[in-house]
Amino acid sequence: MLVTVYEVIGIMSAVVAVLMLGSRNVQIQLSMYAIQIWLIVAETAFFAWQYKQPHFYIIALTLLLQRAILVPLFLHGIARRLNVTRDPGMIVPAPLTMHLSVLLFGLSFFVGQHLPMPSAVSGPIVIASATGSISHLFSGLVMMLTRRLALSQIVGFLTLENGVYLFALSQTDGLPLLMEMAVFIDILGAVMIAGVLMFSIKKSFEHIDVSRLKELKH
Amino acid sequence: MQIIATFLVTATVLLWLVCSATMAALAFFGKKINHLVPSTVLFAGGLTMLLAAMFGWQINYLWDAPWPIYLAVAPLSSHLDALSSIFIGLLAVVVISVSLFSPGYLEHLSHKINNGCYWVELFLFIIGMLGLILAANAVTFLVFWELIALSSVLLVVSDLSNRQARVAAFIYLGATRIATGFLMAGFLWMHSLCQSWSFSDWHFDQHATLIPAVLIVIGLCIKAGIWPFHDWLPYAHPAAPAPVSALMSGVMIKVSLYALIRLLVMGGLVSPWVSYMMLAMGLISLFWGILWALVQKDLKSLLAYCSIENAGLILVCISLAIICHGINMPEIGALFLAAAIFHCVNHGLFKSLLFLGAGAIDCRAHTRDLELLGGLAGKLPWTMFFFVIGSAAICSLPPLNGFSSKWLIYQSLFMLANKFHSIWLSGLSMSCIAILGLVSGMSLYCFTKAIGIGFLGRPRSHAAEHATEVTLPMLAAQLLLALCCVALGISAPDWMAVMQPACTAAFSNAPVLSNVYTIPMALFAFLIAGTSAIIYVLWLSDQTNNVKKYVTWECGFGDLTKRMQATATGFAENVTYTFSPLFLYSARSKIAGRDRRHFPEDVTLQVSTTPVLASRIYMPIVRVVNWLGERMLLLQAGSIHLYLCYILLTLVALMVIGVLI
Amino acid sequence: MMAVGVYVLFFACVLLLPPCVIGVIRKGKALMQGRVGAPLSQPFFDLFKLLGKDQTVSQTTTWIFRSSCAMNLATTLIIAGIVPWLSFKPIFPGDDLFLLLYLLALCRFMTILSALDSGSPFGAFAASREAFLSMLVEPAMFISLGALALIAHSTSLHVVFDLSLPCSTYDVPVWLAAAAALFLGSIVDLSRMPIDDPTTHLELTMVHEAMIIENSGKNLALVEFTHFLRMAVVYGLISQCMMHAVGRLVEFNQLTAAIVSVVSILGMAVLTVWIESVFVKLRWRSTPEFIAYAMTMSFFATGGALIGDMYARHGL
Repeated sequence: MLVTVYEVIGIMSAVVAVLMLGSRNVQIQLSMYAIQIWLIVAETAFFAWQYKQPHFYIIALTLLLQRAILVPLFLHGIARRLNVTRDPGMIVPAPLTMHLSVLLFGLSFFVGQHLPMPSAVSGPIVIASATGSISHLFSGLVMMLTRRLALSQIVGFLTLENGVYLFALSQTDGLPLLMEMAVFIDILGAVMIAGVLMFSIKKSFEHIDVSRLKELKH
Repeated sequence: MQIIATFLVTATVLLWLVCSATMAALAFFGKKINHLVPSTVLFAGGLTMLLAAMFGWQINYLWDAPWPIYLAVAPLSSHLDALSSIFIGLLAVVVISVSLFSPGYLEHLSHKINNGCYWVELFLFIIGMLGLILAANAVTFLVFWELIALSSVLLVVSDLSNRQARVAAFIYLGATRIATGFLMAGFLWMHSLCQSWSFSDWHFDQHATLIPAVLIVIGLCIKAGIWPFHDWLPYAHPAAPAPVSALMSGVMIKVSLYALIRLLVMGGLVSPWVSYMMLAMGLISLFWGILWALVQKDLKSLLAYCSIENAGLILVCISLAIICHGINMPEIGALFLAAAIFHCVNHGLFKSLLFLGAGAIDCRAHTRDLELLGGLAGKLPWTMFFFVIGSAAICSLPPLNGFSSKWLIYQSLFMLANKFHSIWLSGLSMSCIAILGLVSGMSLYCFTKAIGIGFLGRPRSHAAEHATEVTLPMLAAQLLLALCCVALGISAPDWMAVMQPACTAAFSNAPVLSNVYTIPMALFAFLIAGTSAIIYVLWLSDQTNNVKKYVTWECGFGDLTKRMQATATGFAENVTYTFSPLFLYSARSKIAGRDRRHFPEDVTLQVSTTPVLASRIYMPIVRVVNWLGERMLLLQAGSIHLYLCYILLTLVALMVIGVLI
Repeated sequence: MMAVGVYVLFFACVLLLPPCVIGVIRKGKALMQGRVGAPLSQPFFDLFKLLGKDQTVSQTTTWIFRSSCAMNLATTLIIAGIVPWLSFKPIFPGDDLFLLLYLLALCRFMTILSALDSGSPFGAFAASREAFLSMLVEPAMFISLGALALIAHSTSLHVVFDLSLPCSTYDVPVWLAAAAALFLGSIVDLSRMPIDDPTTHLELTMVHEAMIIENSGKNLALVEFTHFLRMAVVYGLISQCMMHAVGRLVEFNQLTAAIVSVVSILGMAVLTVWIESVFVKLRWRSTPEFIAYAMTMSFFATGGALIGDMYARHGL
């Protein structure tokens, strides 16, 4: 049975997303996010080479510049200036969230089995790539659910967006260039604004712990 | 063959009844009991039971007691076949060791226990268990069940002056009443469905038998100590005298699980609801039991929680056997059943050994608290040696019997996963393997704590410093059980043949079990022992004149005191910290002194763990029941007129109901 | 003739390879720290020196302390006999997966008891730490090796690690995930960084060293050699997993497999050097988080094995 390289990369990226959940150290989370993005860049480039759609090279390049280089550096800088290193986490300790994410990985496999097949490819190839992308989604969601630091919420949101992008790539033979560009600019803007907002939250409240947002009620 | 077996069993029972009647009479008249007589009678009875088991293994014999003995609605019928004789054999071996151990142990407790009562209750307890294993219909079963329950409650409260024992006996009595209630309900329902009291007529494969099966499972699980009904076990087993704890933990739990096998597996239960419920209960007891065993300071509580873990493991095997039966995989189901029975036997042996060892410590060091023991290795060397063998067996280390049965369980789980009936079932088997791995790591932690804090190091109390070795019969009892552990470990493939008839009776095409066991256990035992001996002889022992004895490394501060050692709580602290939500763990520390930070003068640490079920569910229920009881008190105002009024009202109501229906 | 040669070579590896592995690790760490370091054969000299020294034994110890090192060496030799850690290892009977894991548990049992035997507080808390860590790592080891056994449909180790069995594409991620899980588990089992620093001199930070702190002379020589042998066997097992993962692309004939298996053990030693020099030791309360990574990789291995077998049965 033939398994192409980009399913392998998709699964590896999903595994890295799951492993990202196991750490409470912000630097490690950002490094693992960077690894995911590099893998996705490689996958996009390979997709472009295999399916002879040159505009995907441009998408890969944009991904590389924006999310493999710019965003991690930006978030690293913010983390250093906000002086956060460890995320206290929610009620569930970090390793258990990682195990939960593995279970959701299995669930995404079963979801992937029941998806309708696109025309060009067949069988386990599609299931493997669907598994990878849906589990990115779940990992991002679990990260947003179980972390208290606003920085971790952003990383979770970015992982979620990775999952959506991978799903679009594998299930639909690629979206048009314009749509991808629009999505990228949106994400870039969102991250920049979130970064600026985190500064002002830190200045007003002395912390960026989102579980204490309910103090705003009084 | 049948006549010999019947004769042996009846002779044993009669002998014990006569002896216990004599004991009762002597106790009533206040005469002093010489321990030698009842102990010899028990020993002889144990031997005849063992012979009966060996003869009974080859036959399948059902007999009813003759005419004068009749239990109101059904005859007293007994069924001796391969399955019952395995359990009778286990009972016999434990009875033999208890008979050797009891006289020496009772010397230590003689001023607190009425000896005559103890022996009478012990005989009745053992007769009850024997009758229960042999019971072939529901009424016989219930009669002997009650006999076991009541005699063991009395045994738990042997030491009436001890408040803990009284509370434990009360809780145990309540639990066993509830268990009997569930069992009776289930049996009555089955009787009305199958129109017969006899177990061989009860078939559980119809849909209508679902609820009676659940009732019977709950009743038996309460007695076996399965979560969530395990709460009575850590009270009752430690409070009883050590030989009785050995019997209760080693055999009584197994007898309940034997009843489960006899009724449900032989009766052909296939319902997935019941079997998955049993599997879930078994898995949770497995983890919960050993988790709580880790944090106990009392040696016998530690062993009692460990019994919960092993009872859960046996229940997991039984439920997987039923599941395999339901999905039409009888060869793997037979393996699970064989593993369950084998683990019953092995656990009975090594748990009794451990309880007898704990009893020996209690006898000599006058305490069971691990924080006050230590340094007993030089004082009780043989007891320690047998305790180490028992602990190695319970941690399933090769080449002992714990490893043999655990290996069989792992192999059955792997074969179930390998068959790929469905991905869910294979995933479930692999998760069971993972949970079993975690639990075996935890039991290693638990028993190294028990041996390390209890026997090794320096004595932590005055009594531990002045302990001496126990008497020869007590050592002989432990030696017998230790030899059985080693023998069953080394000859495990041959034991598979012993369990073959029982598995063939339950599952139609059971494989030849002795072919399943592919590890040459005897080879490993010889290899480990031989290589160790060689290495020891050649390299280490030839330089006794080059060995200098000195104090333990103390960083040059001078010799360490007895307080500068690990405590039981400290040794297990890693687990209490990591699993603190499960323990409702709280640790409060207070440091006092003129300059607290740099020169503390007084440090107090208070740690507490609270059982979740007992405090959050059972205690509120008990409080509600008490409250209702107090409200009901209002109904008994003490006035005769009120009572006559009640009678009149009931009469009127009954007449109205009688007219209407 | 060939068979006798294989046996001789195997026993030579059992005796000589473990001190080579530890020599490579120590030399490598020294070079990374900018020192020259001791020669590669220093562990051999250390063992011979220890064998000739007198022993100092604590007064509080019992027969457990005196017999545990002999028992551990015997058990580890049996483990080296049954685990297929070298491609050319002759097959001894009774190599079962679960027996291997419980023989490792037997070693641990005796080591923990001998640590508690002297009544030393250092030995006691090191023993409790070792028991705690190994308790958490057990499930990962069980199901990562169980996943490999599922692929081979047998729990017999020589069947699982047989290089001549066909390896389908679905099995490669399982071998890789199992290798990762076993590697992370081996860091805990062998007490390397970032769980435990083997070169520390502060007793409060020790896990493994404090357990063997009371041994001296011949006892210490046996204990050290047992530890080195265990390290070599575990690294050999992991390199066999990697060879299986690579085996889908490259065909190994017997001689190549033999040479690669020995060289890759030394390669694992170099990887250990890099990890020990780059990563810091974890805080004690963070070590369960590290073990969770091993658990996750073993979950992936088992899931991969189950899914792969599901596809194999449905003919995809």
